[in-house]
Amino acid sequence: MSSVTFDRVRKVYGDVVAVDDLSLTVDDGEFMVLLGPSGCGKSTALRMVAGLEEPTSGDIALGNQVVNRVPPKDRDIAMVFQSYALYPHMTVRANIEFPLKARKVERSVRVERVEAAAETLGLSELLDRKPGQLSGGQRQRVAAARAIVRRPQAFLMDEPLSNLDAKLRVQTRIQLVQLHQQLGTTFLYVTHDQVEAMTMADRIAVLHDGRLQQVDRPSDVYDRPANAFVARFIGSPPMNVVPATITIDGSALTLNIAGLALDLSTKFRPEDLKAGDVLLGIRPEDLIPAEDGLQATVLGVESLGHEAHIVAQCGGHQLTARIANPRGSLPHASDVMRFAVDADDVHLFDATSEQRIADSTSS
Amino acid sequence: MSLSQTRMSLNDGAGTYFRSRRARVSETLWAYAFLAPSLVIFAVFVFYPLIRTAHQTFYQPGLYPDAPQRYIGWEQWTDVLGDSDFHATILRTLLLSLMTVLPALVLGLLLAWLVNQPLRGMSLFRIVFSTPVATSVAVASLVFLILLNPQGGILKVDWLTRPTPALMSVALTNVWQNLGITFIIILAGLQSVPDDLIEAAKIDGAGPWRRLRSVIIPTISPTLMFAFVILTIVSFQTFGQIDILTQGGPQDATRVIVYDIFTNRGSDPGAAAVKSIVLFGGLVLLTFIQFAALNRRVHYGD
Repeated sequence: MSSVTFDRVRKVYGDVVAVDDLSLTVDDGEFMVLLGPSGCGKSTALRMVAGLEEPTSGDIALGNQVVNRVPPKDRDIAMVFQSYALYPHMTVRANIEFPLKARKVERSVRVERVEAAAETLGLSELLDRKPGQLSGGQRQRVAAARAIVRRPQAFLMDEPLSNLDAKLRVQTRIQLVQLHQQLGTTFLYVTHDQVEAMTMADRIAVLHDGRLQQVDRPSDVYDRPANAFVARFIGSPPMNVVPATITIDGSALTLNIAGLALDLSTKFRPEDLKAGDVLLGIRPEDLIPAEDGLQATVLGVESLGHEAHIVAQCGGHQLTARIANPRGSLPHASDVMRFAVDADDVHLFDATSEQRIADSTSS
Repeated sequence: MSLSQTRMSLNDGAGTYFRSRRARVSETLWAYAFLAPSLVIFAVFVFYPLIRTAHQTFYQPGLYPDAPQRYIGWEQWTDVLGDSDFHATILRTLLLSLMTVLPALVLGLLLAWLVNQPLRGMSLFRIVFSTPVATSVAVASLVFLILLNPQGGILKVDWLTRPTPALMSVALTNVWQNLGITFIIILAGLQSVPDDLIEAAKIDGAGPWRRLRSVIIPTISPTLMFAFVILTIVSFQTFGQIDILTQGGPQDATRVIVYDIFTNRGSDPGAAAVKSIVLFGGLVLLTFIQFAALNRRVHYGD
């Protein structure tokens, strides 16, 4: 087992910068998720660790060894592909055995290891089938078995769940977390799905336009997004981010939005703020229907049973509120209603840099 | 309900029945109308000649010029099939086929595999390796005639006048001639192999040779089979190269079945017809055997 380190890694294709100055360390035994929208460079980053792409500049290290020029087969890593990339002409057994055969592992050891890997992933009954005869979930497990059979230093996974249906995805997430705990090996996992990231990761690295936005534990990424991009990317529905202004009068810090003045002095320190434009971030679940507060006109209501989303217009901006366990009557389109906002739930971002403004809860 | 309404509904029922039957008939007629052009072409250029050839196998020319053909029946078949010269011709044809198909397949795969590497300038090689496709048999044969000419030639070897080298020279020309199409077919197959599969094999620790053997060849086996069948048929039909390079010589060393039929055509049309039918039947049979044998080993995806 070993750590994976990106040291100022840059990857350029022609004019396109796919990965820009990425520095990130995945600790030994950690489950790290690279999260971002498509085209953010997360797959390129993973492929550079695998040795399928070479960094334009910077270093990639496994443990203490820089592996920039080491071919994939000598890196002692395993990878699970989005398509699973199973060898279609080989049985499940031959697929799982292939990495051992390629490394000229002795036959008796091969048989033993294949059986063990198949056992771990519940494939013992399927060893003589071919991939074409398996369901999507079974194929996914064969791909995982082929990855673990060699006991590599690190596992790389490129959107391994995206070809599964929703129900199977939930099951497989749990299985992957169990597998990680069982093996204790470093996992580097690429996805665009925030739910996968939130549920499985020890830490999440959020990427956007080839740049690292934030690396943190899932709860920290959710509770303290480093910038407006992360704020808008994480959460379902995403955080509301709208322009507002700050006025400072002595020690009184006031946030002004759509006619509402909110005292921020309980959460923010005067030295961290300056008067003027700012971006206000507030999670949908923190907009609470009330007698008093932010006035908005309802545009539409989506009820999901266990929760409802109210989309409303407020001072030229659209806000989404989430109501958990909606009981009784929900508002209708064009109703006028008010939402209470608690200063403790307010996130502030710099109006130009969009970076998070520190508050008194920051460590 | 009034009487007129009842009658109308009855009429309607009958109308639908007749309409649907008429529709079925006209659909069939349309189908034949669309098939007609190809049926006519097949009838004139394939079915009729085939039947005439089959018919011809039972006749011999008259004893003097302008005499009517004589019916000799199955005797012609037993004569030709029992002829040891014909046995030698068949064996020679098989040998030429073997010397054509295997090298062309191996070389075609090798070239296509090399060219399919993601390296700069590969498109140039792709064009170069494809050129034999655009070369006629006559041109290809002339190129080799010049290459192999013992006096003014480039290789200055005396191959065409000695039996074994002559057959090998014909095979060589055949390989060169068919390498282009083989290369193109196999390259198309290689390009359809998913990148993921190759990358997975790289990460799994497979070097280039193992990737080719264990992953690429099995994946493109339907393509290889197609190339194999095409090459076999083409090699059995070799004629132009022989006519230009050796005329079947020396000492009949390059007299393969098509050339044999060609030289028989005037003097012994009945025997030529029997040999044609044997060649036709043999190729059909061979194709079926190849498909049946390889089908079990070929992977067709899922």
